[in-house]
Amino acid sequence: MNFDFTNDEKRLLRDIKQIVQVFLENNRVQQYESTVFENNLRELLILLSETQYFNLSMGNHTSADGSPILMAVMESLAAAVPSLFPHIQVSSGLFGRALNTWGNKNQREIYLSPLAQGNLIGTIALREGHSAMEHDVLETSAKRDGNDWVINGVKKSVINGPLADCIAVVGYLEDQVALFLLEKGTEGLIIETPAETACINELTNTRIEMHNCRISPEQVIVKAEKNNILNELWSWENQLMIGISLGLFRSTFDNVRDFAKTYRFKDKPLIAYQEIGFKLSEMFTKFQTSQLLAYRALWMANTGHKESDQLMWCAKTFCSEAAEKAVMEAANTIGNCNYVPQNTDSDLHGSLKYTQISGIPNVMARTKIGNAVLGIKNR
Amino acid sequence: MEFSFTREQQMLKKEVIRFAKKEIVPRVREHDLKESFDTESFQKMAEFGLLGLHFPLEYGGSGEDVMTAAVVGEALGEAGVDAGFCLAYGAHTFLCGDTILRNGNESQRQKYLPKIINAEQIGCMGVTEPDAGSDMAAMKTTAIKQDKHYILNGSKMFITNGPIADIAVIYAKTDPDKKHAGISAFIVEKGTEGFSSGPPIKKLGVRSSQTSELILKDCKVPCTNLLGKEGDGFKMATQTVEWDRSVMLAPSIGIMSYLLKTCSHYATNRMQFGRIIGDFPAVKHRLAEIKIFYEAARSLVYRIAWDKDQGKPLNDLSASVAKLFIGDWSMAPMNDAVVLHGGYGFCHEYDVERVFRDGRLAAIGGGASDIQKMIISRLL
Repeated sequence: MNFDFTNDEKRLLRDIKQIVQVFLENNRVQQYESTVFENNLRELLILLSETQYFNLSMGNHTSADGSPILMAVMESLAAAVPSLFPHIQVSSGLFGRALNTWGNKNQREIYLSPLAQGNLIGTIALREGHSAMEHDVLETSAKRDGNDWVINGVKKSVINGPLADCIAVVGYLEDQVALFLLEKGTEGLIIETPAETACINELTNTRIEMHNCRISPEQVIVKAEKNNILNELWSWENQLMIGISLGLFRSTFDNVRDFAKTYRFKDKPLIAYQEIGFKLSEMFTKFQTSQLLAYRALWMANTGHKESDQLMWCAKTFCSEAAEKAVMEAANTIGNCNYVPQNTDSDLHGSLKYTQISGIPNVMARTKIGNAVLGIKNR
Repeated sequence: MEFSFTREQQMLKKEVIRFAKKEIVPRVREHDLKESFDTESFQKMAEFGLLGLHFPLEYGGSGEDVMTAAVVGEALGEAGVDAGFCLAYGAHTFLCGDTILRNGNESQRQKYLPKIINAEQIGCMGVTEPDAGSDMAAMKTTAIKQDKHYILNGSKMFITNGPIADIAVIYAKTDPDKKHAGISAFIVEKGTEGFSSGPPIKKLGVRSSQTSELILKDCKVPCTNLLGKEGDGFKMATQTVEWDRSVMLAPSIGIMSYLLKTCSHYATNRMQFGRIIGDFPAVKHRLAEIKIFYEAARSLVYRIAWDKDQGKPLNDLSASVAKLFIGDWSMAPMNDAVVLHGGYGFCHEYDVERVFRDGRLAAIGGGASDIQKMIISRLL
């Protein structure tokens, strides 16, 4: 057991913090509707390519790869640039990681190099109508036509949808699960305008349709072990939701703590009032608990521990719900100051709801945890 | 960062679970209901080597690290050993024995530690007073030096192992004008003139541990029984916090694992509406709540043990976080376990009833939750 990060890992965290700090000094991150948003995203991706960040998900198994440092980095980025972070991580942590794990040499050469340089945005299109609850139900499929494959299907909740240069669409190829690499502009690929949601708009909750999209065999990734692909993708998506939760939890806590230290009421700072100090203590306790649980869940996932799925469900449920509670407590603590445009608590609240219903929905996670405790095999 | 246990720790955990299930658990309910201490099991624990786990070999210990001691604590809980027995073990081994190990001179160590390790003598620690709990500086017990003795006067309250202890580490003020800096620690033996214990206190939970008042009335303690120097007492008492927050919290974690197994067994055997109740999502969700708490709490405890093994000074923030989380939030999953058992959960016949009663102490003993919140908010 070891609760410390290595010096390399600590350096990576410092590097990322510095880069983001410089980035934020020069940019004001805009809402998704603005084209500035895409420019911001691309600029930050290029800056991050100067660090080891992308290696965590799609590198050549550096010392940091596969360890809790990935969670710590996600937390750091999600806290600093919450609206950009999901886009960054989906591109590298889902799309890039999938390519790196299952792609052939040629596919890796085409996509991973520009991705690692921050010059390409990718995404995974996984979800369909009912796939949030039963994630092996997919209707998207490929049919052979000559040497090519023709893809048909509808995907929803695609992060990065309108921004992605390449979309890895998950579907069936005959009876095997496959990834179909669809580049932007592919004929028959319709990317809808992101739907407005209760969550922050920037998550670009996009629906995409594929009408007879024709791709070559070189754009197909197929593996015999179908559950491995789906399980891995869902696990990575859960990791992303945990990362967002931790980051938002951290930024919420930092904000409310700083507010309580600086805002004075009757000649003393708010934090000096026991009722406020106690609230902050509870928040901090839940935050540290969330952190350690998340780190351990990731460590177990990467070591292939037999209970790794359960740990990930536990971590996702705990972290996302504790963070949401913290946002509510923060709003109570800040009081009237909450109702000003500069305060983003309401956005955070929506985002944390998003982390509860995305990946494996928390209600489903609890059922699966219960099944596992009872020794019932989860599908 | 990595979270694996060594092969030796994993094997030891299995061995301890096997030992505890065979030698301790069969008598747990009996001692809980009789509100009596299980001396026989305690002796067996000593024979198995558990009372001296982290003590150096020269005193009869095994020289294990803190993490291993925490693993053993978790194993006891996981096997189904009750929190009362675990508390008695903690008060004996860590609050009394370890304080002597760290602060005693060689003569004191040689005299007391082997007997603590082999359970020939049972130890306890006396800090809390009727009017001074969390506020240690308000302690009223005094120790006035007279020639080769200290004369102790005062009383100590809620002392785990009080009625059965052969030796006690007693904190008293050698300089009543000073606050924390006036506190010193003494080893007081049973039979010392002026030293007595009150009757066992009737409690809500942890009933197999014996709790009482300790009374010091012109109690004449030899100067050779002073631990360390005069005025060192507060520092010594805070050292015990490291144990309170790691090894002594570990059984609470293990007990959650025990609850999971108990509830799972009940849910797969209890039939209602023609189905086992484990089929109902509401029951699955209760089990999930217990599991989530269990997994969330584990790393908090192990982090403190690991820090201690690295020789790091106690991180008060981490320690209070662990204590607060387990103390305040463990009641909800314990409640889930009781409710899942329905009417049976309210009866002595089922262990969840005892676990629920025992669990209430976690937010009170060893530093109440509100004290932890005060510490955390000051450090933020």
